[in-house]
This record gives sequence, structure tokens and C-alpha cells, in this order.
Amino acid sequence: MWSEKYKPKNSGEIFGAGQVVERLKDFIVKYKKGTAIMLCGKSGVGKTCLVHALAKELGLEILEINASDVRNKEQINSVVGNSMRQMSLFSKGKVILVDEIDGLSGMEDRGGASELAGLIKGSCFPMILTANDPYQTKLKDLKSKCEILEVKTPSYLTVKNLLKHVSDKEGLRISDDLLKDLALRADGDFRTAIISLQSLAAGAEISNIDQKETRGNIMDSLRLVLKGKNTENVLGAYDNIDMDYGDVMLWLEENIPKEYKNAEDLAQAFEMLSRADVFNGRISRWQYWRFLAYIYDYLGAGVALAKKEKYQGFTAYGPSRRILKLWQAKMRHAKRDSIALKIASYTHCSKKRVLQDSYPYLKNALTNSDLALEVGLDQDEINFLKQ
Amino acid sequence: MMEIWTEKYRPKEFEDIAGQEDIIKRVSSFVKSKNMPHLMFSGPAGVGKTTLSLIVAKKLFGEEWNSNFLELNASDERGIDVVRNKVKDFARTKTMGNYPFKVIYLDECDSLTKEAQQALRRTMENYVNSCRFILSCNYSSKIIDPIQSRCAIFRFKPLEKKHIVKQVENIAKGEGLTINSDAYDAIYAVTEGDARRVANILQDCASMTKDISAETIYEKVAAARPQEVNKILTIAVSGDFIKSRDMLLDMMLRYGLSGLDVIKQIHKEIWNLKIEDSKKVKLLDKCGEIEFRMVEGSDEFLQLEALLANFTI
Repeated sequence: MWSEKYKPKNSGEIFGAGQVVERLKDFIVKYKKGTAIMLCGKSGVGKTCLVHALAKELGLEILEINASDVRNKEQINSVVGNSMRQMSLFSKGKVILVDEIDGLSGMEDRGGASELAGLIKGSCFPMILTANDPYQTKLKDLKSKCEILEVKTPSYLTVKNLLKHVSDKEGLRISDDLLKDLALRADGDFRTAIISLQSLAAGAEISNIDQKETRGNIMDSLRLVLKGKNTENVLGAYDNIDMDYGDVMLWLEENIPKEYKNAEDLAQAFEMLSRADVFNGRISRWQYWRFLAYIYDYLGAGVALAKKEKYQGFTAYGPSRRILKLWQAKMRHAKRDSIALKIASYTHCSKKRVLQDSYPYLKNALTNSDLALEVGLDQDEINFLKQ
Repeated sequence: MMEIWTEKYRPKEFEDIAGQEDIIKRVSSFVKSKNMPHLMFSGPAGVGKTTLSLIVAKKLFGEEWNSNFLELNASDERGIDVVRNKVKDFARTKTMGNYPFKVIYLDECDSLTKEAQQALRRTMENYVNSCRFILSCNYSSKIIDPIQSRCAIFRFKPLEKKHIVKQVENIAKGEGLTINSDAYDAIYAVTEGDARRVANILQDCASMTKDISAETIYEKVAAARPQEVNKILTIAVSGDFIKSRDMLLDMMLRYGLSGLDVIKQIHKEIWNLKIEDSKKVKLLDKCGEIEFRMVEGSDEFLQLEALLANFTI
């Protein structure tokens, strides 16, 4: 299994997640009783790997419990309890890894979470917990005892780099495009990516390799760009969504003001949108599609780095209301527009010009039926003007 | 009979068109010789481009002008395909009477994209034996070179105050209006030399009184123009961006305003805001930059939002 073979052996071999590694190392080396770390992140981003690699590097033993173990109060106590409370004289140091704690479920693990919380208090060794979703209510108590470290979902580029590394080591000759395709399909899951690569090397067709998840949605992209400042994440922020850049701009236009409460951040973010729009205009005029690359730079890194501080907390993003308003206005103003069009053809100019320069001045005069009929208005339209 | 004054007082003869003497001389000589190249009229709104085209058609074709003259507006006809099909249908039929060609007047050509202009250029070539084009635009720089090189180009000058005064006097005579002396300045100021607006505003004023003063003019113009701009900017300055942009969009939709109309008004209102003068200067600078980007970009409202965001700082 390549996914085992290429597990990182020390922190230098870890792809992405640099800051998390540093913090984790610090925590283990300078361990203070009563603290613990909860590593959070989607499955396959390398939470467990990280702990193993670090332990190996620091020469520590790992005491691991994972989802396959039954975790009730008694068992936890008998397996971990004693060894946690005693420093052994001869053995090396230890790290206690409680893997996939969101697997703790009602019946089998009754009392597990609270027991763990209690253990954290008394443990002589650094304790590390991993979870996919730290926001579950059953983890609420445990969470308050731990420092939360998020292992970010790697961008497809990071995944691709890993795949490149593995395929080079295995002496495979795989085109860059294919690697990119594999990386995109893995959707941030290193394990899936490597397994796919191995199946490919074993002769599978790329089309048979399942896409890991449906493609990302715009909400995730917005969260990446509007909340964070991590350029690595932001550069590929819109790669995985099925949405054309024009729509992305509308989503940003709608949601930037909800997030960027600092006025300078707001102005700078809109400056980026404004620049993107200029390039959009140039593309449509000259059909010079290379400008698209700059548009994505503005919409990703440009908007993300417009802020001085990261924004925390939950923000409800929503779709653009502008398109809806335009449509409503079109319905509401249909009568006015049809009148304007008739005036336009009567006075030899465009509807747009009539709306600006003629309609506001003539709408009173046109309530006179003789004049209205001369221009070609029908009774409905005359009544509309009389209102 | 009641009429719309822009039409009632639209010049009918070459020599009635004010302020474009050189152009009139050359164009009328084309008409006299019954032969002409494609023409391009460029210049600001309301200086006589359409009027001159209509006179050309009427002089060339006399009674049959209507069937030998096709008037299209590039900003109203959706897409170049509509233009092409209409031109095709028009050009295919024989000219009514014994004339060597028909005339197609295509207004507001600068609203066409570059590709649409390329298509237009092909169309002009295809029908060169049976049709002459008169293209009209505000800025000839927005027209691609191959089209410009196929046309005799005429640049219309903005109308001066004396031309507007003459037009007002002419309408006043026809309608029995008295115009106060201060009203002339007012009309020139609010219309910026656009003869179409002069006729429209006068007609609106006359529906209220035959005795027209500067106040009447300003009152009518104010009623026709949205008054919300100052309020929208003030709300932005107070920091409520979302509310101010929603109001801006509502105003634009209600009055059917273009981005350019709005930015002109914002430009005027900056001085009336209660903020430091140094900040006003910064905003003016931004205003100019955004107007420039509006011409280059594709989404006018987005550009206005970018400007509005600067008011919140």
C-alpha cells in the first residue's frame, strides 16, 4: 500500500500544514500537565500521519487508541489510564493519540468523552485528539479542555506535489495534466490521491477512478477567500467549483460587505473587483482570454489580502440579489420601457436616450391623448402615464 | 395638432442646422451629385447627427425617402445578428424609384463590441453596390480602424450658447412663449448644448406656463432628475455600505439611469458632503478613475460600488 509506504517519516516530509507542525512540536516538547490538543480536519488530510511523523522524529512512543477500539469508561481507564499517570523510568517518552474522537457514539462509548476530559487533567504525557468535525455537540465539553488546531484541507496543488513526489519515487511517467486531474478528484484527501495513483499505476483507467466527492461549492470558496489570508489556499479557491467567473464576481459583490466590516478592507476588496471587471471588459472586447488569469488573481488573492486581520465567526453568505432586482425592475418598468421605445422610434433615437433626456420631460405632455396617439401609445399606456 | 417639439422643430433644410457649417457644405455636395461614400458622424448627443442623416435621405429620395432609408439603433437592436438580418432584408429589395443606392443609418455604433463591428464591416462590404451606410457615434475612437477607413468621417462640434439661444427663440416664436433673459443661461447650463434636451425641457415648462424663467427651468429639471444621490453618499459616509448601495441600485432602476449619469451626479455632489476638503479631493480623484474604468470595464454597477466603498473610509 503506497498510502502506508509514503507516510511521512519526519516533519520535513509533510506536505502543507507547516504552522500546525510547528505548534504541535512545541506542544509536545514543552508539555504542561492539564493541556491537550485537538487536531481537526477532513479525513485524509494527514492528522494521524502528522502525529506519527512527529513522534518518530522526536523519538517518542505512541500510545494510540482509535475508532476501532471500544471506548467506554472502563476500557479507557484500563488501557490508557495507568500508563498515563505514571512516568516510566526506562522507556522513552510517550505521546497519547486518541484518534477520530467523533467516532465516540452514544451506546458503546457511554461516558467516553467525559472520561477523556478527566484524563486530560491528570495525564503525564502530551495528549493529542483528532476529529473531523469539532463542532459536534457531543464534543463540546472535551473541546473546552483542548487547544484546537485546524489541519487545513490542502489545495489541489499541494496534493499534486505529493503525487509528483510519489510517482517520481516509483519511477512512473505520468503527465502533469493527469496528476492534476487526480489531485482535483481527491478533493484534498492525500490518502485517496495516493490510492488512486496506485490503481492507475496498476493499470486502471482514469475514468474508473472515482471522484472523491462532488465538486466544492461556492460557499467554501467564499469562506476561504473572505475569512482567511492564506495565499496558498486562496490561489486555487475557485478551481473546484462549477461556476463561471462572472457569477463568482456577483457572489463576491454580494458577500464582501457582509464580511469586511473594516471600511478600508471593504474599499480595497472592491478595488480588486473593479480591476477584475476592467480585465473582463478587455476580454469581451478583444477576446484575449489570457487576461482571465489576472481576473482570478484579483478575485482570489486580491480580495483575500485586502483585509488587515482575518475575520472570525460565522457569516451567512447568500446569492446576489442584484440579478433578481434587475428582473423585478424589468417587470415593474415594462410599461414605461415600452412607452420609451415608441417615443424612441418616433423621435429617431435610442430607448436609453429617451429614458434619460425625453421621458422625464414628456410624460406630462403625453397624457394628452392626441399627442399620445400621434406617438403610437395605446390606451393602456396613456392610463399608465396618467397615474 | 399637438406634436413632440423635438420633431416639430427638427431642422428640415441643410442650412437650418446650426454650428456645423463645414460639414453641411461637404455633405450637401454629395447629395447634389447623387453619389456618396459611406459616412461616419461622430460627436456629442443632440448636435444634429440624426437630423443631418434624415435631411440627406429626404433630399436624395424625395417622396420615396421612407422606403429607401433604414434607421437602426445599435443600442436598441439586440446584437449584431439582428442588425445584419435587417440590413440583409432591406438591401435585398430593389430601390423604390430610380436611385443608385439605398441608405442605412446606424445610430450609436460605439455601443457595438469589436466583434460586432467586424461583422458590420463585412456587411458593409457585402452590400456596397446597393447600400450606403451612415454610421453615427459619440466617440470615433471606439470604432475599429477598418470601418473608419471605409468612411468619410465628419466630426460634429458641440453647440455653442448662441446656437442654443437661436433654437430657443425659434421655438418661443412658434409656440408663443416669453423667455426671460436669465432663462437662456439656465437652459444652456442644464442642457450642456444638447438640442434634444432643449426642446424637451421647453415643452415640459410650457405645459406649466407660457412665461418661462430660470426658476421654471431649474424646477422642471430637478423634478426630472433623481434627488437621492446626496442622501446615498451621506449614508455611505456614515459607514452603512450595504444600505447605500441598495438605494443606489433602486434609484438607477427606477429612473433608468446609466452608470455614466450616476457618476456625473456623484461628481457634482462630492462638494456638498460634510467631510474634510482633503478627503473630497481624494474622492474626486477616485471618481475620475472609476469613470475611466467604466468605459474600459463591463459591469457599470460594480464600478459604482467600488467608488461608493471609498466613501465609507
